[in-house]
Amino acid sequence: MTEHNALIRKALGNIAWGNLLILLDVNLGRLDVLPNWVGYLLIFYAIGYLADEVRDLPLLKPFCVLLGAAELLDWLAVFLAGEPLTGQFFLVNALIVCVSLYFHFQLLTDLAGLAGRQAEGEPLARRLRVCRNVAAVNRVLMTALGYCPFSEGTATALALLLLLAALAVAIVTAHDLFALRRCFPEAEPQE
Amino acid sequence: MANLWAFLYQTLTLSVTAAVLLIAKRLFLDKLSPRWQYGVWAVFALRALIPAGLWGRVLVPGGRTLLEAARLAAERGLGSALTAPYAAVEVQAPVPLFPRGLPAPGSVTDALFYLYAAGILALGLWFFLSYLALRRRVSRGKAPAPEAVEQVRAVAARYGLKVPARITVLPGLESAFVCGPLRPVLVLPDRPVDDKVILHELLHLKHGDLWAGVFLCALRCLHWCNPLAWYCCDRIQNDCEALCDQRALERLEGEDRREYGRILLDMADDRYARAPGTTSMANGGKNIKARISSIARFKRYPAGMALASACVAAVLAFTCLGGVSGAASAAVPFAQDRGRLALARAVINRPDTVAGALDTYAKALLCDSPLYYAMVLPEEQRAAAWDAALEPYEDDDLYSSPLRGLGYSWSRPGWNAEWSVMNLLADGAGGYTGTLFFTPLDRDADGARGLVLQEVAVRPDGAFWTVEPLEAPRVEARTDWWLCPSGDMPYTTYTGEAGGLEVEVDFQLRLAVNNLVAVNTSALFGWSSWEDVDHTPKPHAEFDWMRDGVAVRLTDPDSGAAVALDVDVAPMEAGGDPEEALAEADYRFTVAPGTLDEDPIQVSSGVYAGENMTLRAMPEAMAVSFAGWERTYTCIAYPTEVRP
Repeated sequence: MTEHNALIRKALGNIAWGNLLILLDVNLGRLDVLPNWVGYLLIFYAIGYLADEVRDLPLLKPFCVLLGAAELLDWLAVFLAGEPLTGQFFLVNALIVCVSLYFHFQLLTDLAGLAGRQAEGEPLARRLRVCRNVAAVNRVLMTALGYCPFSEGTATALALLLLLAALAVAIVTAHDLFALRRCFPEAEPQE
Repeated sequence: MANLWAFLYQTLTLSVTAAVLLIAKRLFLDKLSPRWQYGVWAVFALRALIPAGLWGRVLVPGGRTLLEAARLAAERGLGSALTAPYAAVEVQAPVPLFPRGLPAPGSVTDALFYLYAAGILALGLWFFLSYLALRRRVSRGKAPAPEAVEQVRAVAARYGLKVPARITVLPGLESAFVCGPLRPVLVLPDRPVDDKVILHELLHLKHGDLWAGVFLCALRCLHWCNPLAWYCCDRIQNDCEALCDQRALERLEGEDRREYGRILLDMADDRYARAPGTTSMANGGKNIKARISSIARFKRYPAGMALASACVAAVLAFTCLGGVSGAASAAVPFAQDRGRLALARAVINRPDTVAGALDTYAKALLCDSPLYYAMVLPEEQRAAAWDAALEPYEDDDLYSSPLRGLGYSWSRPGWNAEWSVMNLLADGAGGYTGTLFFTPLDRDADGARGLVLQEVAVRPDGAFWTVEPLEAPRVEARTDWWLCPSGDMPYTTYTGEAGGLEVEVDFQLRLAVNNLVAVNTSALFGWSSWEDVDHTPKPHAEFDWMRDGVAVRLTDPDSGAAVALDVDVAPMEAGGDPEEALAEADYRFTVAPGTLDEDPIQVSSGVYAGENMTLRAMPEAMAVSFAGWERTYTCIAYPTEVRP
């Protein structure tokens, strides 16, 4: 097992689990027992580990802190008052959506780049890029849905469709992030 | 913008957009390219062009309420000529308008608005004269040396750009610039100019940046007293230059790129003489330092982020241009609320549908709420309601309700009554008249049943609807509350002629907004829930409950004898095709001759409920068809009598 690979595996493991924590909401009452801010904390550490490996990744550190802080604030607000805080401020929420959209897009771009550098990693890189694109467009369509003059029934049907697409993309992304970790084996392949 | 408040609303909305964009640009400063940094200002430009509050959408929830409350506080008793005292702030266009001409200012707010409009003219004139002076100076410029012209041609040819129609040389000029959006002139100093400077200016020409400059001048004029708008205009101009730098750098290689940076550095100490309708590579030391930082990041922006850039811009655009529903952010006040903020919320929520206006009026009457009257009464009757709404609430307000004086009431709270409207007929002037009914009622003395009714007129008032009572509410004692179908309740008779027979159709229509709401005492179980009547007006509601009644008579005009044939009837528009109406109408009735007092199952097609009701007033005409003597007769029946 090379030290180099071990560090990358650890970072990718952090990202994969962090992403899973962000995706999964297991609620006790209204409180998420798998808090999203823990996910961002894991990704924050991972960015540090991968800084030498992927040139653009450190650019995401401030965004990771920002998103983690917003999630922590919301989590505490739900814990103490039963309602998330950032959702109350429409414009702040929109800025958080922008940051989150960019953050996940660049994270997947950089990870796809990392995958592409590995032998036989190109299909994985391609899939990660597709997931990244679909997730970003899906998020914009979700936002746009609130402004389109659809009837309630049509809007609900479209929202459900977008939600299903988001779910499918999230599952594939989560799977691919764990698969990416496997691209960096613990032991050197036998000659 | 027809008054000071409309301008404040527009410029504050623009300022909020500016603040959001400035924060977003700061967040993405080192992550998204100069193309995005400049392009995202399109949201700002569009926001400046879209009237604030369009389609009831606002950027700051609650902000509109505060503005309305401030207007109420400032305008009450001022007698402004430009501000209607009892109407909400409305921005009809992003530029000042004077729909009532130029009346003498009646208040300080009128004077301030005139000052604002004069400021636009003065600044616009100043920009125009500055531009004219520059053009005059340029027109007196020297013809360029043949080598200079050749140099410009060579640069244009090398980078596939267009040569400007005119090139001139101005002695004493610090740096080259392009002037005039319609007939652009490349103005050069009377010393050798680097190819890269020429490339920069030609790129401005290619991308039409001069027009952006003209738009910014107009924006500066419109928002001349908003420092944030001016700051944003400066930022837009600098971002435009930074983007032009990037475009130039994308065309340059190796040493040329470093040289470009050095040229910019040399310009850092130059004076920035901003002139409308021009672009210049030298735009002031501070701006150039920002551009050099941008150039330093040129190769460091993450690659492959085009889609993310577009998505972030789209989210910002939807947010800043779409806003949130104003109705959601400024809910209709409760009947007992009082004060400026409550009145502001009432003014913002004026009814914009016929059903919404009737619902608001009915609840104003039921709750005896001056706030609800302020929402729905015609302007000339609104003053008293406004005064009352600003007085503190007293618990015995309900006892002064017009309905209580009739000797009929229902158990407190008073709003536990339901309303409906019958005979809602077009009045020929864009409005309607109809009879409002309130049920159920019990006589205070002995508990006998009764109902209250009132003739009302619903009239359009711009984008809103008002309700004017045509009589005082009156009470009618009844043994039951059965309203429709019933011969002694209002209905309209339509008459026509077909097959030599006279056709009479009595049509009765009872419309309402469903105001029943489920009330739960437990969040966990639904078993303890019941239905209550919602006492808060729904100013944007459509009719979603309807019951009809149809009775038809066929008479031989010669003998006066009734003819017993089944008749098909369908509502239609006046002048339409009756056969088409019968084939495609959403509501079609087949009835045997009779009156409205016969078996309800025979003369009514029952209750319709839901959002998709298409019959929202009494029809303009009825399509009638019956078969007899081996053929089918069809005709149109028009309203001839309104009963009772």
